[in-house]
Amino acid sequence: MMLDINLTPLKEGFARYLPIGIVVALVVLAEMAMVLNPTFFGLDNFPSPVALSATDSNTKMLGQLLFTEYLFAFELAAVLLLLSIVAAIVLTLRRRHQSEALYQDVGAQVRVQASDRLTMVKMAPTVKSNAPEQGAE
Amino acid sequence: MDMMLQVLAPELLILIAAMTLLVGDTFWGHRHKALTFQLTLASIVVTALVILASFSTTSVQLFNGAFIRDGVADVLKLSMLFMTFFAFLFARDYLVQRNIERGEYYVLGLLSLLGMMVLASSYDMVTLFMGLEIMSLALYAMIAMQKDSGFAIESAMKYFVLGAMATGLLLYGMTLVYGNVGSLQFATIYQTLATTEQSLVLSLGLVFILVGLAFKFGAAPFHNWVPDVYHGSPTGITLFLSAAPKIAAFALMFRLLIEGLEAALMQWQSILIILAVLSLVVGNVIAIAQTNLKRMLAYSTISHMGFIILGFLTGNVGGYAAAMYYVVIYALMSLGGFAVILALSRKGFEADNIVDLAGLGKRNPVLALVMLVILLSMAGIPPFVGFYAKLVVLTEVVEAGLTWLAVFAVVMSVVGAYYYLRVIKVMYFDQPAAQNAHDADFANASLRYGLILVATLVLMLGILPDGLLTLFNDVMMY
Amino acid sequence: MSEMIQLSDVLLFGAVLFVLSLAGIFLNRKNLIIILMSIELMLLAVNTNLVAFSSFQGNMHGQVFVFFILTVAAAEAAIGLALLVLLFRNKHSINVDDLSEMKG
Repeated sequence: MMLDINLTPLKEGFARYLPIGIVVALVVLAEMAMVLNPTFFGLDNFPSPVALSATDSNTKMLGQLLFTEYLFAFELAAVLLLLSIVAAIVLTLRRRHQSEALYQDVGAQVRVQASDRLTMVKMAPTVKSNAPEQGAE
Repeated sequence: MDMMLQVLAPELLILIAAMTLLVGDTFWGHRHKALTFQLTLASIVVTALVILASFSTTSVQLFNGAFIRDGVADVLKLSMLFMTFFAFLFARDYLVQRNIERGEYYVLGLLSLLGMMVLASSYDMVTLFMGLEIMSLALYAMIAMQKDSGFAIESAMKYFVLGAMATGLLLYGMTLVYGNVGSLQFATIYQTLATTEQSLVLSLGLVFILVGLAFKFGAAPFHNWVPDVYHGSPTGITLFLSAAPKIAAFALMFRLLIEGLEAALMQWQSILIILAVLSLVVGNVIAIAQTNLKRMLAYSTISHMGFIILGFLTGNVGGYAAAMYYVVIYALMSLGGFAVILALSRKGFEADNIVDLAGLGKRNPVLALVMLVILLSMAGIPPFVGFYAKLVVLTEVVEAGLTWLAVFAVVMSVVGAYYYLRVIKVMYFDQPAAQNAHDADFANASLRYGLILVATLVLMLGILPDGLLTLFNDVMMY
Repeated sequence: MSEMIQLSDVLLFGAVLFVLSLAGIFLNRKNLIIILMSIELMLLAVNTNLVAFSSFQGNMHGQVFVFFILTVAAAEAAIGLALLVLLFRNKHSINVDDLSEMKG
C-alpha cells in the first residue's frame, strides 16, 4: 500500500449500517425497476439491435461523429485532461530541500561512472595501513 | 470559418490566456511575481470587451447545435467575467500571504472560468457536461491549493465527493432522457417533448436530474456541503466560489431544464416548489444560529438559491429573466460580503467570526458602510438592489398563480433579515476585542476602491434597476 | 424469443450498479477510497445505460457520450486521488469520520 494506514478502524461500523442500507438500496432499486422493466423497455418497444452489415464499421461511425459533431466537446476533453494533470501536480508536488530528506536522484545514479565510486590505490603488500580512501560521493 | 472564430472568440481567448500563462509562468514566475496576475486580469478584460463588441441578441449555433451563442449566454458570460475579475483582484494579497498565489492558481481559475463560459453556451448534453466538469474540477483543485490547511483540504474533499456524486446523478437522469427522446441535443429534446406524450421514464430521469441540480445549486435538502465548503476554503477562494460558479449553476439549470425539458414543466414544477420552500426555511432559520460569518453567508446563499428556484418554477420567460437577474445580483452581493472578510483578514488571522466585526463602525467607517450596504441589500431592504431582485422574482411568482409561495418567501425573508441586522448591530454597537482594536485598514487600494465600487453598484442598481432588468428580459425573449 | 436480451435487462443491470454505488457512498462511513471507487462505479452505470440505449435505438450519439464520460472519469479520479494524498499527508488518515473538523 502506498498509504501507511491501519485498515481495521476503516472497517468498523460497517455491519451496523448494513441492514438499513440494504433496505434503502432495495427500495430505490425497486422504484427504478418499476420504470426500467420490460413493460417499457421490452423487445416489443425496443427490438434487438440489428447487426451491422459487413461494410459498416462501428469504429468508423464513432470516429466520424467524434470529429464532426462533437469536435468542440473533443477539444474540451483535451482541456479537461490538461487541467487534471496540472491540478494533480500542483496538489501533490512537494518541493523538498536537500536537507529535509534523503531521496534518490535517479539521474545522478545513472550518470555515475565507476571511477567516481572506486579509487584504486596502489600499495605495497606488506605495509600495514588504514582502509583505502573512499571515493567521491 | 471566420464567423466561427468570431462566435467562439471569448472561449478561445480565455483558453489561449490560460495556456500562455501555464507555460509562461514557469519562465517568468521567479522574476516577475505579479506578471501572471496582471496578465490574467488583462485577459479577462479583453475577453469582456470582445463580448461587448460582438454583443447581439440573435442566436448563432455551431458544431451542429452543440454550442450556442445568444443574448443569455453573452450576459451570463459578461457577469462571470466581471465576478472573476474582482474575485482575483480582491484575493491577491490574501493569497500571497498564505502562499497560495502561484501561477497555477490563475491557470486553474481561468480554466474554471472557461468551463463556466462553455456551460453558459452549451446546447447539448455533452458540451454541458464537459463545461460543468472543467469548472468543477478546477474549483476542487483551487480550494485544496492551501496545502497546509486541514480545513481547506477537508472542504475540497467534501466538495469533490458530493460534486462528483451530483454529476453522477445528473448524468443518470440525462441518460434516461436520452433513452426517452433519442437525442442529446436540447433543441431536439425540446421539440420532441413538446409534441409527444410524456412517459414515466422521463419522470424518473427528471427526478435524478433535479436531485443532481439541487446538489450543484446547494438547494436544501441537498445543501449540507455548502456551509462546510464555504467555511473551510481559504476566504480568497470562497470569494471566487460564491460568485461566478453560482451564475454557472444558473446557466446549467437554464440550459438543461428550460431549453431542454421545459415541456415537462408539470413534472418538475412541484419538485422545484419543494426545493425552494426547504431552501428558504433552512437558509434563513439555520443562519440565525451561526457564529461564523462565512457559515452565515453560506446559509444565506442557500436561501438566495431558494429565490432563484422560485424564479424558475414560474415556468415563464419573465420568471427566468427574474431568476437570472437575481443570480447576478446575488453574485455581486456575495462578492462584496466575502471581500469585506478578506479586507479584515491579515497574515495568520482570519476575520471570519461575526465578533471579529465588532466596532468596525469606528475602526474603519468606510468598510463598515460597505458591509452595511451589502447586508441590507441581502436582507432585501429598499432602496438597495437586493430588494428589487426579490421583488421581481416575487411578482413573477404571484403572476404564475402561486401567491401562497410568494407570501411564504416574504415571511422567510423577514426571518432572514434578523441575522443580517444582528451583524450590523455587532458592527456599530459592540466594542471590539482588544487585539482587534486597531489595524482594520484596507490591505490595499484595489480592495478599497473595488469594494466601494461594488457597494455603489448595489446602491445604484437599486435606485435605477430598470436598465439591467430590461436587458435581461430582452435577451430572454430573443 | 424470451431468452434474448431485452433493453430492460441491461437497464436493470445499470440500475443495480447505480444503487450499489449510491449505497457505497452513503453506507460506507469510513474509507474514502471506497467512496472514490463508488463514484467511478456510478459513472460506469451511466455508461451502461448510454450504450444500451444507443445500441437498441440504433443511434450512435450515446456511444460518443460514453467516450467523454470515460475521459472525465479519468480526470476525476486523478484529482480525487490527489486530494486523498493531500488529505493523508495532512491528517494521516483517510477515515471519513476524521473529516469533521468543521461543525456549526
